Amino acid sequence: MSNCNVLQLNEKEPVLQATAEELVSPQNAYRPDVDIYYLPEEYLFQVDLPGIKEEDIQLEIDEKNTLILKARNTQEFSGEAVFKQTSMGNYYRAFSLNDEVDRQAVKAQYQNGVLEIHLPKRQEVQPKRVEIKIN
Amino acid sequence: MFFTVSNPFEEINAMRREMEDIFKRSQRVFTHQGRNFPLINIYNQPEEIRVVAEVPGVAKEDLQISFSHGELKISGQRQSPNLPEKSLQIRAERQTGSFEKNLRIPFEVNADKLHAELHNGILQIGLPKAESARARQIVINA
Repeated sequence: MSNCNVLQLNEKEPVLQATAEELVSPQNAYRPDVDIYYLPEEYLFQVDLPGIKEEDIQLEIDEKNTLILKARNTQEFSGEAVFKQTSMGNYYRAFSLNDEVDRQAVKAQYQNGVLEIHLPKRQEVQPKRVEIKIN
Repeated sequence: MFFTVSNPFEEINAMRREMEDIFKRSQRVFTHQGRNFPLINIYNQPEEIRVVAEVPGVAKEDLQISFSHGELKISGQRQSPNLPEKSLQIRAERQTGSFEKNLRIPFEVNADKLHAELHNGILQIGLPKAESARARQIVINA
């Protein structure tokens, strides 16, 4: 990836993990893994949420422009657990968005245990090619 | 002058408790061996052993399960998404690439009847117990 791209990103501070995440997050909430991609037209979030029902995922952007993800893990298995690396619980993640994001156009889909959130940038901030005339 | 005797380790203890708390919360992802994928739970049911692995974002075609000599092997790879050329990853927490887990099953398994299902990123493998490994009711003779 070119250096120039990185520079541009640092200046804008596109998406920050909300500092409040630790403070606000409810007790016993796990933090699911998140990947964020910076694309020309949008930000793409990919969140690992295996085994969660679609109706148990709650996604919102609050008045402070913070994207909040909450999910509840309700799956249960019968039998005695003889080896356990995961347990049931809630998931919580929060990210501060910048003004570039078009809040009305945010879309999300859940597939194969991964939640994909598309946060399109507003039309006026999308990169456009401009011809400059030389007088 | 009035002295209170305080435990100089009080604060260190408090800090340690806090650290443990944080560690507990992130335990889903980290174990003592470092990063861990996929996370696995194993349940002992009367008829079978059920292995539940979290494999979000792994396609069915990218998963291989094999069983030989009492060892269950789950391997596969998680693909990174196909994105346009001018994209940049600005946060990377999810692991991509290949993974492999080996589980030793300490009793006889009816290997012909192994079955597996993948749904919503959860892989479930059922290992039916062989007749000799099942719990048996013993009739007491009078």
